[in-house]
Amino acid sequence: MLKKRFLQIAFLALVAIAVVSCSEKSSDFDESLLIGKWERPSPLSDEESFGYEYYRYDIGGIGVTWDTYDDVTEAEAQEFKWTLIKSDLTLTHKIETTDQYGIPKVYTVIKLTTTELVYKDDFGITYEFTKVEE
Amino acid sequence: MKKALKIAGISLASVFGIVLIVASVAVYVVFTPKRLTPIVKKVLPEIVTCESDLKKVELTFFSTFPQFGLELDDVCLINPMQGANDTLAFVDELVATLDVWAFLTENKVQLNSFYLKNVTANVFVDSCGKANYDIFPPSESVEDTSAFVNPFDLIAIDAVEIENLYATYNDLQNGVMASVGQFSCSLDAQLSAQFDGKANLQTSIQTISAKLVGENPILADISNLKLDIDAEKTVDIVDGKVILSLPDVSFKMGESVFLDKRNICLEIPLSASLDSLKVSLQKAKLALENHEIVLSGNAQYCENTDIAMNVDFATNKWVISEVLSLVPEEYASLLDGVEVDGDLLLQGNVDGIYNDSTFPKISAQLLLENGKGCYEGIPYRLRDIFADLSADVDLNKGALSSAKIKKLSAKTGTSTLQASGVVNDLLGNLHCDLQLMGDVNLPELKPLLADMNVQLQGRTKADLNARFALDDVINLNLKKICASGNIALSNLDVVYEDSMFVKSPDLSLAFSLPSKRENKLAEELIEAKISSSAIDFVMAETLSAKIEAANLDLGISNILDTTIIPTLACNFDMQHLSAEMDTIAADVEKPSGKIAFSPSSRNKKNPHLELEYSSESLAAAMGQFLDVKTKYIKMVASTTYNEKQDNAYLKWNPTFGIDFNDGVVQMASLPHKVQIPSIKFNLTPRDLYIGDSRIIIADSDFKLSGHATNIRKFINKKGDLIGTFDFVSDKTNVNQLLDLVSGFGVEEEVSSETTAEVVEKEEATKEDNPFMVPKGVDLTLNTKIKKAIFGDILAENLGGKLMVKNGVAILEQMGFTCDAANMQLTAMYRSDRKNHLFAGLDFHLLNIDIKQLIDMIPDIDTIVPMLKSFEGRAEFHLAAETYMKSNYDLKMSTLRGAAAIEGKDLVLLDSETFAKIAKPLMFNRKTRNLVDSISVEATLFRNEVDLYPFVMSMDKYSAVVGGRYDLNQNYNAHIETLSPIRLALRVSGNAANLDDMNFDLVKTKYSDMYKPEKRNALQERTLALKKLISDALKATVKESSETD
Repeated sequence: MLKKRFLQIAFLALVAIAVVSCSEKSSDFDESLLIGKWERPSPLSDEESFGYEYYRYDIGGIGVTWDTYDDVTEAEAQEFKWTLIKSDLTLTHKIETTDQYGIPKVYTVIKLTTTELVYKDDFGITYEFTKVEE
Repeated sequence: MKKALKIAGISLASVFGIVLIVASVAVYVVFTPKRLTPIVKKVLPEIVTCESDLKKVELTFFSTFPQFGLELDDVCLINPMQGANDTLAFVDELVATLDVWAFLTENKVQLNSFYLKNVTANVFVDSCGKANYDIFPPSESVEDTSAFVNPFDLIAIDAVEIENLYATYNDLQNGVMASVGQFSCSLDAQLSAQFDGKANLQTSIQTISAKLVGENPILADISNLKLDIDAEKTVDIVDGKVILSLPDVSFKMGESVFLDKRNICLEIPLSASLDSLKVSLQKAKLALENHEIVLSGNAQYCENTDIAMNVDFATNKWVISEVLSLVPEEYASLLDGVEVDGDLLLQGNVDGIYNDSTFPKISAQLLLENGKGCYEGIPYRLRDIFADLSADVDLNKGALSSAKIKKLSAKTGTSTLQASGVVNDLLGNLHCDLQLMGDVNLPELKPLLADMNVQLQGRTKADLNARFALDDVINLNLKKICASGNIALSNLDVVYEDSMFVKSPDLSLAFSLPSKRENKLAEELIEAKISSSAIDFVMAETLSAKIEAANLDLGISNILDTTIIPTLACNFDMQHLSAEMDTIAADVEKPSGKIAFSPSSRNKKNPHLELEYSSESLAAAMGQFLDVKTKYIKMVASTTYNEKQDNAYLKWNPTFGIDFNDGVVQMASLPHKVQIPSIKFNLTPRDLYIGDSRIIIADSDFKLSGHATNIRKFINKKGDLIGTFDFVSDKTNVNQLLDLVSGFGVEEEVSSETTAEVVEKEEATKEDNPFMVPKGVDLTLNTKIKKAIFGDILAENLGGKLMVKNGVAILEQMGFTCDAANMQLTAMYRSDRKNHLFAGLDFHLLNIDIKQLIDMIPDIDTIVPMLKSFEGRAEFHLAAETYMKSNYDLKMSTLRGAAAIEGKDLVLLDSETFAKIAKPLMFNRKTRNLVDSISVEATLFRNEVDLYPFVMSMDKYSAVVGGRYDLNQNYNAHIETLSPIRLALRVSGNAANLDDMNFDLVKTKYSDMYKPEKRNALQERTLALKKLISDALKATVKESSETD
């Protein structure tokens, strides 16, 4: 009987832990905050050259990205589609040659404010962006 | 009867005796000199005003028997003026006899004789014009103005003789001095009351001398003059003959001696009508030395003062050198440097009216034979000159004169020249119609080319015709000149400046002005045809050419008219042409064609050029660099200049067409020769047509055809260049074709620069010259290749499109099959700007051998490195793209890609990597590990590759592989076995150094992914993304039927 009680408590504890744990992972972020232009120093930058990596999220789930380090302008940016479901930010990049959105990149948003966007991928790499004032 | 006769005889004798007695009494008793002389002396002052005298006057009978005569001796008239000879005139003896009986009984004046002997006269006119012969007293009678009426029935002069007359004439007023010495003459004449009758005059003068004083004094001396005049008058007709002989005539004017002891002779038979004032000549001869002119004809003086004449004239044979010797020394200088000789005959006619305003027409014929001559300005001595010329000269206003050259010929050296023709309007603007023929030994032209270092051998025969007006020639009015001719050169051998050599056994030139050719482009002025059976041409070790059976037909417009662009059209054909220049050599069989240069039809101020060329074969080589051979070849090209355009293409508006067979092109820079069995294309300013072309390069054999249009609009930036071409091939070896263009245009240089410098330079060069896809271009190349070799792959039924449109080059869905796979390829290249170049590809390999896939696309090993561990056939899909810098360096931030590989029944090869993995996962290591299937999806974003988890079943093992790595081979992979045991291995580190990589056992995470009922959300998402990637990649795969 004691053993049975112990197992019941343990199960509840696990459920509670699981529920708590799930609620942390399932944080909702306001996707309207995502709309706009975000920048971070280009990871390609080096001592000789410097640039910014930009992501512009547009209404309708579309967006573009470019990196000034590689002498790419906003007008020349590459397209992607995006979704933000709870904290899961999925960017599916377009392959222009086939006119297909066939390169998915999935991130988990950690922080999204009017000025700051932080997300990480499944390999633990964190990406930090700053909102660009228009 | 006898008695009667006796009585009559006695009576007559008695009468005769009485007459003699009476005459003797009259002469010797009654009219003695003593009685007559005083009477005459007394009368003389009444006759002359000057002092005079005479010695004796005597009546003669027996000395002048049977006529009475009167003899005056020593008659002297004294000069009444000072400044002159004392004697005006002196007559030693004057005798006159008169038929007194006829005068008394028949009213006839019959002067039986009149004899003057030893006469001296000194005529003098002073500076005021007063003459010493003005010695007759003024007449007191009223001047009789009535017509002269001969009061006598007959006037007969049997003999008038003057012997030894000496006379001088000195006219100070007019500056004339003259003298006559030993003048003698005799005159016999008989005139009726109507002055009909005969007269004969014979005159001789020993010396005549005359001088006219002035600025250019004139001196004339004549010796031994003889003049015979024989005339007869009947009613109004006078017939006679005048013979004047001047065997010794000298004439000098100033310092010019015109005649120096020359012989002049006139022999003039004539007939004159006194009523009609008409004179007729019958072979009247005028001669200077041996040079005679014979005149025949008549002349008439009309009441209106016109002189109508029709006179023929003819010379005997004149020797030109003798005629020239008659030229006064002063004028002989005009002939300095001229040597001319020959026999000259001149004859002609003068016919017409002569008056103040009218001249008779003169017709003349000149015949020159055996002529020869030279002129110091002309380096030739002519001989055998022959001229047969005629001329019609009309000096009247508005009349035309002409000359005709029946034949004019001459020889010099071994050359001959001959001319003929007509010259009209001789005294005005000469209109000539001439023919010239020549046979010239070319070495004899050397003196004409003395300023040039040229050696000539050979002969030329020329036949030239020309019809022109002199004014047009002077003014170079070529349009009004007609000329034609043929010039034939034989055995021509020319050496110019010891550096240019031309040889030809025969070379002919024919020309015509104006041209008779029809030229649709423009009016031609000159036509020329040049032909030769062979020409050898060498230019000082730089150029040599051999031409066989060449014909050139040339037409030229008026090149002197600078107001319009000249027209030049040349048709040519040859049997054979070979030429070498430095390392360039060409050999052509039967080249022919046409070159035409003319004003543009749209704008005459702009030039237009047309070219047509064809040959049976052509072989050309440029050292080791280029070697071209063709059989039949035909080219057509034209260009029209338009100065209003800026672009060179629009400025020249080129059209070009070529059609040739069996061509072979070899270039040193090409590893394979290019065979062109046939090619035909046409380029117009607007369109390009390529049709029926076939090209063989090594193992490749293809046909290219198609059409491009809108070229002008494209260049004008007013429209797109639109074109569609078909590339059809039975077999194409892509490797060999790529070899052809590999390094094309890049010269290999030996440089001492360091590697770094070279790299830097190459980069700089690249940056400057990326390939920019032309914009405004819409070109499509449809390919259809039965067999294509790429690498070691034999592709079959390869078909697709290569498009260049709006700045994008697209290789669209190129499909093919090969031993390795069925393939589809779409590639794209876009040059948005110099430092932003786009390249992308969509590549599908269906049922490909993995090993051949890696051989074909080595870069696939970078994206899916484990693929090389597999053996077998798979389906491969790859889409990748990136932007590049101007030096083609990738812009890593723009790199995108996705790949999918699906395979069944594969073999996992044992390798070092597999060994590393197998050990912790407790795989059985075999050399060949069979794998049931794999389905791999991977994406490439920037420089990171995401390998989505895939299951690999091998033997009794089943494993999932996934992870991330970058293009620098930094790995973060997860390998997890699903059976028979569940283990997970994390592989991390850089694959470049396998020993440094980490292989760590980690917690499993894909256990339930392939159990649908147990999958979590993450695993669901992972599989969804795999499907998204796979679907996106396969969306562009064409069915095999479409590929075909």
